[in-house]
Amino acid sequence: MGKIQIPPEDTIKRIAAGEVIERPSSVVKELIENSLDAQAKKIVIELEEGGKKLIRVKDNGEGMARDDAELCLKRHSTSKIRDFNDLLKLTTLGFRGEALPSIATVSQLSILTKSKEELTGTLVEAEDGKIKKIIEQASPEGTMVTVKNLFSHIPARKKFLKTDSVELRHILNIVTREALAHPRVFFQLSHNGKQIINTPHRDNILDKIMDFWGKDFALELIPINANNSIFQLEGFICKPFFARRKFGLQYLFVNGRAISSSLIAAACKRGYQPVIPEERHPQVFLFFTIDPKEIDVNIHPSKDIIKFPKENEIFEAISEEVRKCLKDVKLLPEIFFRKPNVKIKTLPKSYTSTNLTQKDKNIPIEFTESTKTPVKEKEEEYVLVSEKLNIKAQINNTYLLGEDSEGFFLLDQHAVHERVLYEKLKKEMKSSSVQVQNLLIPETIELSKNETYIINENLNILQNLGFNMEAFGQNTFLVRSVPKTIKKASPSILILDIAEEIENMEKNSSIEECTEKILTLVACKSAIKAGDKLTNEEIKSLISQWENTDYHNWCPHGRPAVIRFSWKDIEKKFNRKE
Amino acid sequence: MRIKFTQSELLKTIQTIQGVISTRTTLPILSYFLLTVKPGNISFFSTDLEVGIKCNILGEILEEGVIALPGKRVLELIREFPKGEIEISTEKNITTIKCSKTRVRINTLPPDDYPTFPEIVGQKISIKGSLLKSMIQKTLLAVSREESRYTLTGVYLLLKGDSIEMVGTDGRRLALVEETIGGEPVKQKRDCILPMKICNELLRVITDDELTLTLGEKQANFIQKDLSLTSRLIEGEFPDYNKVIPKTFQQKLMINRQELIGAVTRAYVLTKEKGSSVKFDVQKDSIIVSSKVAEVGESSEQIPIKHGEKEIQIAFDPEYTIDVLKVIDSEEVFLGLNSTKEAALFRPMDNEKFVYVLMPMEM
Repeated sequence: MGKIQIPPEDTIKRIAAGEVIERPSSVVKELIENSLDAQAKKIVIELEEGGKKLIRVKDNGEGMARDDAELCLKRHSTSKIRDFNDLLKLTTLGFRGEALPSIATVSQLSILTKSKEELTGTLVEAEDGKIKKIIEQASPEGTMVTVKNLFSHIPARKKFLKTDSVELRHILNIVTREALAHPRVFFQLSHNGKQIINTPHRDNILDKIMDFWGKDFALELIPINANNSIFQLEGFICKPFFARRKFGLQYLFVNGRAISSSLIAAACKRGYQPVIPEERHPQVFLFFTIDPKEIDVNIHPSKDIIKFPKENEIFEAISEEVRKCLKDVKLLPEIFFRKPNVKIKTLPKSYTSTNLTQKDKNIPIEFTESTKTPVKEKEEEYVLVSEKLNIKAQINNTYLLGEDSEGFFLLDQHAVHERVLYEKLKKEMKSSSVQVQNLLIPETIELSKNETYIINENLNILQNLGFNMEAFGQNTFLVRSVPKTIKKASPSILILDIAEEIENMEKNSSIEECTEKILTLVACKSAIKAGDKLTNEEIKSLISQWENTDYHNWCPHGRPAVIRFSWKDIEKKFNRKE
Repeated sequence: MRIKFTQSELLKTIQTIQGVISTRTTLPILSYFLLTVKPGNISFFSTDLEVGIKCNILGEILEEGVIALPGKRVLELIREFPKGEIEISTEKNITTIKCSKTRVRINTLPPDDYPTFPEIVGQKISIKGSLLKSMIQKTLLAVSREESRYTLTGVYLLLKGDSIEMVGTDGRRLALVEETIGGEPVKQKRDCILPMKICNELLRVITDDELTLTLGEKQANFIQKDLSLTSRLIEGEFPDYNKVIPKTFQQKLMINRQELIGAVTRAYVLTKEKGSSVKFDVQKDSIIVSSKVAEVGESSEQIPIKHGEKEIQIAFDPEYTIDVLKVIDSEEVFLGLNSTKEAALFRPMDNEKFVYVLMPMEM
């Protein structure tokens, strides 16, 4: 007998199910997406033991008729596509018809559902992928799916499940993303009887973000809007000092689908590059609208990875938008603004499954028309504070204290000067007009083999910046000139630091990244330090330069340069006002 | 201990020694000064461990003793005392300062922990206070503020025969001044690096009169009448500065100092923010001092010169240029140039013993 055999049917099913259903969170995701596709307005999720013992998802959507309820457990049965053409213009969240059958294969599943048209509901119970029972039962309109004892028949898979709290975290992550993608849907989630998420119908994304992260965080977000030939983009990005060491706080949505994309994450990071350090990642909420014909969702059963068209263009466009957006925020970190009323983005009505099942499905969909967001009310946007900064004093020889009509603020003199020098050097480098001072007594620098290699690699950048260096023996360099700004810093120590920093960077860093790094270091070493006494003249000159600098609210490492205290808050603290 | 002084004499003495009294609290005893009363001698001593200042003072000794007093507090008190006689007496760790109807009691520390004033032996020379101060002024301006190049953070001093040389440099510019000293010529060449701190203190407290300088192994001592200053020396090798001082020039100019300093200062107003250079455009009979700063503006000024031969363009850091023009004390300035990239030399027209070498900026 040959070695290759077709395994029995139920083994095939289990293999395939493993691909879709990895852990409790995948069940939750599939069920939520079904509910959303059924136009549910409210979704209630109950969990026990991190979803391992029980997952129940109840919605008030369209429900299923008796026949459909029976059929839905068959593999690749779906209400969402009828032929291959539909696959090319998908707008529903699910389409593969794998979810319910897969879940049924690995758990005890029961579905209680009732459609509008029918008088009574249907209860379907299944175990091990086989339907055990179909009976008529009273039910409210909608669907309730109960999944018990996930993977109890597949010990190998069960073994890989983590603790309850880890599984719960995965689920919360999924629900958060789905809730953000569908702000108008009421989500409730409870675990072991305790309510964790309760986010009602919201007409605006920012309110939804507030439900999850709180008001303080949400009000610090910067709105981002863009429109180009490939995509429309709306959303929010965080201020640089909210950037975290943790990866994965990028909430990305394409046509209402929560996705993860290393491409977009990298593009965002790139956009933030002038203001946050290497190892930090910005938190962003980006909602893209892209013509469904242009993207491929069918990459992986979990459907959270998308293939984009014109990847390079998308990368450039996004990083540019982010950069522009950060640059435009010419306001001090604590800003005075009313909630920007960004309209929510859900799937446009014209894309619902009903539409696609119509006969005339070959007619191309007018994408841009239907998704056009209403014009925002202008007065609801940011109120910028642009006033002359009035510096009162230098305190602790480190901070500058100033006031304006809204409150007072503290500037970190080092951060402020660092930003000024950084932008100045960058500009000068671009126009090759760096001010260079030749050295009367050239400095010799001894480096290790590795450092010598790094410095040789970056000799051009250093040269453009004013470091005129020549090799002087094998591992020794002679520095003949330095940028004028570094009056107080030692050129040799600076070069050593540069070599060390670049050595620590990821291999194959681009020239731009190395340049950024070098600029940041030179600016940092040349800037006024904490503890330096400044004269009034120096303060005045520093502030006037700083005010005209891009991204001036943060130092090149992403630390804030300003902290604001509003009179309102201070009055509150002194109990002067209610 | 019990002694009597006049208020003015006492105030002057404390002001003299307060320059090195620490205001930081890392070593609390250093924010105190030491008052020593021995038969026939009252001395005040303060130190920050790098520089020590001792000042003898005349007064009426009623009882001997030693005590450490809080520097800042005593200075503020004495300043507010009425003119007239002040009596200081100590019992245990309480010091009483009395003056007619005023009486202040302050807590003090036992003197045992206070650093001692070191004895310094070595090469002795005698020099006019005015001369030493002028040499320090001319060289200190070029001294490096960059702490990593340690040997450049002080003024280099060289004794050779009957000459004394002082040099300051930060690697971008260099100031050298040479003078003759009276008295016995020095038999053996001797050099040292004086930290910036002692230079500043010397400028502050010494008078124009004759003083004695003793160069010890690791310390130097300056004695002028009742005043004695001691400083630690910077250890290490000072770079060979003779190599970088240009000896010949393609172009030798004579420029009016006032006109030049005015022109550069005006150009500096524009360049200040961006840190741009000031351009010197040397022509046959004039020099054009100009600055051009993007987004700010430009300036240009023509100054007549003598001895112009060759046309040269060169750019300098305006601050560095103003620094030297301020300390040159002659009406006309000598400016020696070779090329756009080579070091330039400034000096008073009539005095070759003070030279200032400045490296140009890239154009």
